[in-house]
Amino acid sequence: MPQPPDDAELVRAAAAGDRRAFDELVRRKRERVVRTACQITGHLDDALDVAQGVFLKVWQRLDRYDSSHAFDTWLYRITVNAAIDSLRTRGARGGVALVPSPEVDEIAGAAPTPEGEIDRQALQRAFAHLAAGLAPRQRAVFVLREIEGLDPEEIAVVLGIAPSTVRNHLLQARRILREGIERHYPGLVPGPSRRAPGEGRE
Amino acid sequence: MSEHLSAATFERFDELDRTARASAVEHASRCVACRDRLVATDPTRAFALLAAIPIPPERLDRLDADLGREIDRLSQRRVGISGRAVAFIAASVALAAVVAGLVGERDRAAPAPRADRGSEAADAGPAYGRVELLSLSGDAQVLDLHVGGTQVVMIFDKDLDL
Repeated sequence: MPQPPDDAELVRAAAAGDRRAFDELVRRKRERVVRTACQITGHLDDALDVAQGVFLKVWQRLDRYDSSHAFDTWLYRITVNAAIDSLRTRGARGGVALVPSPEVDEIAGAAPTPEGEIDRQALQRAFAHLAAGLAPRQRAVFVLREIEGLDPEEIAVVLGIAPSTVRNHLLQARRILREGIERHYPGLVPGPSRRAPGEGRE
Repeated sequence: MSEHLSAATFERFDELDRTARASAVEHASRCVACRDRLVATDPTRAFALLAAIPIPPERLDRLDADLGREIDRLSQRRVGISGRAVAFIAASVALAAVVAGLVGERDRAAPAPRADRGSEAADAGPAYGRVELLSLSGDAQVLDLHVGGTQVVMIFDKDLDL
């Protein structure tokens, strides 16, 4: 059975105009792009608009993509820039929602949380609320590091800033979010009874 | 429920590569004990669990459909533009040839300049027609046409919408 093409092969084929290769590339990357844009903008509709613009740009500029860099890094860069632009535009239009909204619940899914699983809606609401207090770059750094799992060096390439600046943004973002959790969402942190050493661990 | 995450996973959480980290987050999103232990080290790590929340599939499907339509529209527009560009270039070359021919005809029919016309005639510029291609950028052309003392600049650009 033939191996499915890797990303590099798909990128080469799509750059040559192969629409099916491009569609497959979109299928592989779309959730990551939407999730990143969603956590930066705080709005699913905005994130979907951003994602559409990102993939259109990729389709139009694939011939200019420098394959000496990772495709994902290039994709993240386009995504983060577009999401920050969207965030700033929405800010100019009247600000990011500071209170829970039906749209935030839609991001997390409307279904009730099964026993033992994370309360998606509560977590998403808390982040949408608290991340509104971060500067766009701090927010982007936090999302790329904590949610997408990129290392600081990769984030530095994505954002075009020094790794030390990335670490500084991350420290600031964590401090602001930690204070917000303690003040507004103490339930996100385990209580003393659930934190007993060794209880139910490993 | 699979086994709980190891102590090393929590201690070195920030150093995990993306795959190991995603695996740990996925587990913690379903396991209360590991989630509590992860968050206990730093409450902001709770937000790492947002990676485990899937985007509603129907919204992703709609994105695919909208994107496909937009790419089709762009592709059709590109074909239309390239057809128009060929017609535009052919028309501008033909026009330039006609103008050059007319100017040459006029020069042959015009009397030779008199030597005693003095400095006024000399200042009036060349007494013949000249067509010069000033710039060619993409599909745009700028033609500089001199007829007697008159200068006409012609700009041909398919993107000019008058």
